[in-house]
Amino acid sequence: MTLASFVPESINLPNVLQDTITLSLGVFYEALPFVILGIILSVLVQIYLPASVLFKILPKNSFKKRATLSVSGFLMPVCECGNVPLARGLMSKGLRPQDVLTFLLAAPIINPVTMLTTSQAFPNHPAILITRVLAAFFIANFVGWLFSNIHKKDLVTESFEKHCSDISHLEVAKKTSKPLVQLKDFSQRFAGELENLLPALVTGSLIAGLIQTAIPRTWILSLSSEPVLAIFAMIVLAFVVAVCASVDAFFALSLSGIFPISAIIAFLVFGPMIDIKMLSLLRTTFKPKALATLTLVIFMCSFAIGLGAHYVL
Amino acid sequence: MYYRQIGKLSAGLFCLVILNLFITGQLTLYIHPRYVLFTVSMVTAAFIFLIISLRKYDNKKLRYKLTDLIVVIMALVALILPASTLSYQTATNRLQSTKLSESTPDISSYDSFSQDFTHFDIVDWATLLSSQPPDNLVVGKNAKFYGFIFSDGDANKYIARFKLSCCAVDATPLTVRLTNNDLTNTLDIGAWYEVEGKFIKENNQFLINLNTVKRIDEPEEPYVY
Repeated sequence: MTLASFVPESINLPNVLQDTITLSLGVFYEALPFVILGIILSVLVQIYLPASVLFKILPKNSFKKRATLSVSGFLMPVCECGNVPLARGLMSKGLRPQDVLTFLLAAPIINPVTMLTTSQAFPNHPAILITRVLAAFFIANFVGWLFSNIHKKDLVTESFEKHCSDISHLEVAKKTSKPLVQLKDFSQRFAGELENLLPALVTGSLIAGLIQTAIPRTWILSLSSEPVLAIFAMIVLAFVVAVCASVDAFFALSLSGIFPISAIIAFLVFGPMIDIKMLSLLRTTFKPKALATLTLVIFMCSFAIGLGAHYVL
Repeated sequence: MYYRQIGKLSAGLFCLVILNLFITGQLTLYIHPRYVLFTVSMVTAAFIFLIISLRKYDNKKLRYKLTDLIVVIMALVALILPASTLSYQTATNRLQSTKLSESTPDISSYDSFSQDFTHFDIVDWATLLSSQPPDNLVVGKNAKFYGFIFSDGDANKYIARFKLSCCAVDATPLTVRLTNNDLTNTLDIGAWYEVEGKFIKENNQFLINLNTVKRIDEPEEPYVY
């Protein structure tokens, strides 16, 4: 017997409402497994990766440390949604938020899956892949450097600081525990983190679905004729569509007939770093002012890179 | 005291809904088939961890936010509402000149079988038309395929199917415009049809001049991937 036995076969809702629900659930169902994977990795980091080992692996020099973190997506090819819980796990281990931001921003692009799909989608334009990867590396490290002198309490929320403090207390308990107790501990941490992130993911998905039906895509696409407006339009589209970084190149390909390459590049750089769903997830950890600054900086960098690509490519 | 763990229960409910969609073959109405195995594995693992983490008594303070309420409502909506495909209104919203391939079509390869285009479905035709082929490759060719009907703001009618790259949110309509007023006027917007006709070119656009139309049920796999 399936759940279908308990639900009606059809409910006639207005198309707009039905599509909003379908789109919101589409975003949610696509992102949820990545968030779950991210939480599993995050809890594994919390329990089994001693902070001393983490700091031994990473270079001491801030620039080198951020550069290393920004290419670590090669080892953990999780999409942007999954990187949020993983980043929370790294911060709970004592990594500075500004350093973890470089990982959060670069890893969705500088990873083998995204790079492969980008090259598959644009086999005749290798410059798109190269520009995308270099831009992600540059923006992530620029943001890390820009935020480097900001105090932690101005970046992360009090609730997240409390969460980190709670976790450090739990760590003492796990060292002496038996496998079954450890499984219980793992599950408790997993469920706690899922409870923290689920409202943000659902809200972000709902907003993404609402905007999809409220704003006709043809409005955004009508800006394609003028290069500067086209770059702006594609950045807005990336923010609204909130499509997974691992396949966004195929979505961008479908628009390459009407948008110039410069706008496609801006879309592929901005989207994996910031979109509605990501902002909602990041809000669980970072303060609104920090997120507003982050969004503005990434927007300006992506726009500048798109504009540069317009004149160079 | 399980009500104190409403977050875990909502998450568990979402897991059950997703597993149910998988069992009933409807998960691909929301996500691309390539994600199905990964999704089911992760959701099953999450469900197990959530069950293990449940406690009969939880001394956590009852202090819920609006977003927690939204989660509960969405979980119930996902449970109660039957899975649904995107409607023709989204196709109208997203009508655009879609490009489906970066490669320039190799005309010689089309010529080798150009006498028989009957095996072309809407994906093949939309891919070919998006690559701006020479007129002689398309005009006069017979086409027969199925899709749903929608219209643009100017009352032109199209036949279409949605193509998913990742999930429903990036669904892009693959469209072919229809003509022959006697027949197009009989087509109901949103309904699925099998159409047959010959390609013509008008105002720099390829259209199918309809010969026959047959109303069909929505297929089990309405999207293309």
